[in-house]
Amino acid sequence: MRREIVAVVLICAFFALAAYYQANITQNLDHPREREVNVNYAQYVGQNVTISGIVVSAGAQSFLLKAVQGTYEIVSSEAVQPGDRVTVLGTLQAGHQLREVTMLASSPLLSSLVYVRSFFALIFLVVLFFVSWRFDWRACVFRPREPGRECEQRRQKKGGV
Amino acid sequence: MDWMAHLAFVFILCTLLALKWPVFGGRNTVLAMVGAVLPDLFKLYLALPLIFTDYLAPFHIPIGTLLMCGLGALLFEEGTRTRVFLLFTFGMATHYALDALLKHVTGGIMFLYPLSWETWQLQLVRPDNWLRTSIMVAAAVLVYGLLKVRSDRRVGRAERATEETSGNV
Repeated sequence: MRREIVAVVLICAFFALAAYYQANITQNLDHPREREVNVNYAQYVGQNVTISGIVVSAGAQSFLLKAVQGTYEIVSSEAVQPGDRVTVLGTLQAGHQLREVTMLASSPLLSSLVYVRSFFALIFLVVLFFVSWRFDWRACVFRPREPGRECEQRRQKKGGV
Repeated sequence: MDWMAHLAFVFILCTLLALKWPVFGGRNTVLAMVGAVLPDLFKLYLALPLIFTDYLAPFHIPIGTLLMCGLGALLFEEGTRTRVFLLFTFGMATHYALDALLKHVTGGIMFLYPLSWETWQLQLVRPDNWLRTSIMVAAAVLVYGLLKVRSDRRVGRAERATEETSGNV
């Protein structure tokens, strides 16, 4: 019972943290994001904002960035390729234009490899975890696996002891 | 940073620490490894609508991850929970140590949230850097190999000593 109470307290504390974060993040950001910009575009013109997205087309002095809620023209001399994932910090201008201050671009291959590596790591971790630990459904807890003891228990069950 | 780098880093640390403090070794290493990926639970946002992103953000803030470590520890037997919690927390600390090295255009880790909204980032490594992951995985394999050879030698020596003793009797 005590365990359930502690779990509920921890979950409530997490929800409180999340609600506080959600309610105050906009005022505490270093730079507004696309979400804030979209709510009131005119308010942020002339300010530095952060936009992330995928490069749709690239020219010599600018490129088009498809973000979540719109497409922006980024004025920048940085070399990017269509398909690159880019995060730009830049000065917002009228007409969905951004003059780049600093940016980080990543090729589609490199950014997807991060997820591929993480997927294999997750599989490895799950296997490794269940080699050492087993879940006891009756007590609802993880217990260490003790190969000798488990074989003994199985033998006893088979023997009807 | 990808989970392979996180797991390799915490594995190396635990394996080396276990030489002096056995509590970091054996099946406890995997608990620290679980702790090392707990902060990235916030990546659930990839599967959810954009509106939930800010609600999930506290997963990747130390205080939020600590709460998750506590919740996770409750899934273990009574009497072992404090140790499990501390191992999860150790793994979590290694996660933030690595993530603090990353390059970001803006923002960083809010180490002191909810007391402060200030973010910290060392801006040293690109998040998609595969070379660092490869080096870390290679180092983890090397550490594992060296310690395996070391423990095999010890077992061999102990067996020889037992044989000699029984031969003398």
